Amino acid sequence: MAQAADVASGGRAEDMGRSDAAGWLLARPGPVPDSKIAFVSARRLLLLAVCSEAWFATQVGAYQALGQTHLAVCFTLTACLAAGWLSWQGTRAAVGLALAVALVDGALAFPSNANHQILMWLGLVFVAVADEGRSGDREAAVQGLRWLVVLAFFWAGVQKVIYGYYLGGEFLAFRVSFDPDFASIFRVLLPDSEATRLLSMAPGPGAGPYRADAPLFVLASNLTWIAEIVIALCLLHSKTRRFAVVAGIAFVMLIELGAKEVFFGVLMINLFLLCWSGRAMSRLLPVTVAVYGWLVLAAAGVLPRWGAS
Amino acid sequence: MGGVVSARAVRRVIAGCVAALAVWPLLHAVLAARLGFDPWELFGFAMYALPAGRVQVRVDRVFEGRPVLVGLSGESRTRVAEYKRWRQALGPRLSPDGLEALAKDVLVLEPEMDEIEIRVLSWRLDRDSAMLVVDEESRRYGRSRH
Repeated sequence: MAQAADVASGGRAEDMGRSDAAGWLLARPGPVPDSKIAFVSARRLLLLAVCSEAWFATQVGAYQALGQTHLAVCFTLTACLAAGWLSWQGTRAAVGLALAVALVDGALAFPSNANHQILMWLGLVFVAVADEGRSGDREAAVQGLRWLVVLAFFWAGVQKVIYGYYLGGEFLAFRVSFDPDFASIFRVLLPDSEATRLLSMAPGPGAGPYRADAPLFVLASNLTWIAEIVIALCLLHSKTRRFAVVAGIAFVMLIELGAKEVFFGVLMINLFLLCWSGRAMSRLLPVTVAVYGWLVLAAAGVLPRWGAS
Repeated sequence: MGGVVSARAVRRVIAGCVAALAVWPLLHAVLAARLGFDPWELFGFAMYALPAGRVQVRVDRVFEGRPVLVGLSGESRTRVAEYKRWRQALGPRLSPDGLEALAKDVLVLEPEMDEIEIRVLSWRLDRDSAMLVVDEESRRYGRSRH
């Protein structure tokens, strides 16, 4: 009888079950007025992401070592992408299969996994368990994905505080010393003498100190974790959500200039848009498809390469 | 499949995953400190929070009591690289691959070596001094032991 009630209710917003903890959590961070388009767009993004990364990873050592197994994963995920793109009877099975295959592939490549893979895997769980025909399920899945963005950013900021390498600028000074992408961004915040000292340091026992006597540099270092935490918290409130989405996307794009973790960047930008509206994310989908396609072709040597995963 | 999973169950699965991710990173930080794995690994969102752990592994032949750098076979190099991958990610305590196992495999692959010395250099940036520090572990393994 309870099941019939669930189906009959169609999972309307008021049936999100605010009476239980799960319902309370998934009533946040904000309303999902366009749950149908949001859910479908998210499903397409996640299938695209896992499939593209799998093909890209054919050029990565840990996955190359898997040989034919990983190649089979790539083809299976491509089939799942095709089957799961449109909404029909087999969509949910395609998502479920993609999740299972992605998890197996990740387990075989362990410990060479990227942090953002957990976001993709959890996202696929949400989309796989949800019934697209029930609005309550769609909303729950979309809210779950929004929480992934909030938590990823929040914890990324808190971890920087826990480990303490941003408080005095040590991490950034270390990266500037050997990473030209980081150096090109942060060098402007350093006096010439400090920049020269850091860039001339050869890594070896006793090298250092990897610290810069530059207030602007230290400020920028601390603004990094502050921004991550503030953006995450601002996503939770309706009055600050739009600001958080814009700031979050800008922040991710800035990260990409240095870290060049492009798969992470594309995923996060899309999930930020999902925090705004499913329609916004849907509009970006053609660009997302193009970027993922370029990454895969770049890995295969067909197009010029820019960033890593 | 639509009627198989109730709406309540769907909410609970999703909320459960969100709740798990809400607490895991803190647990991750505690475990990384206690167990010594690289905080960049195991989905704790600590990538770029600190310099990534770096491990170098060197296998030398011991000749007349002294370590001598010699070229290893391709298979040995692959084996050493595999050890290094696990050691760098999970640290010495969690890595399923130990030095003894590595030594045993290398001695099998390099029959002309009677004794080898394995040096593991673990690089880290000391937070207080901001200096690069290397922790070194060195052990010798002879064919007679195996």
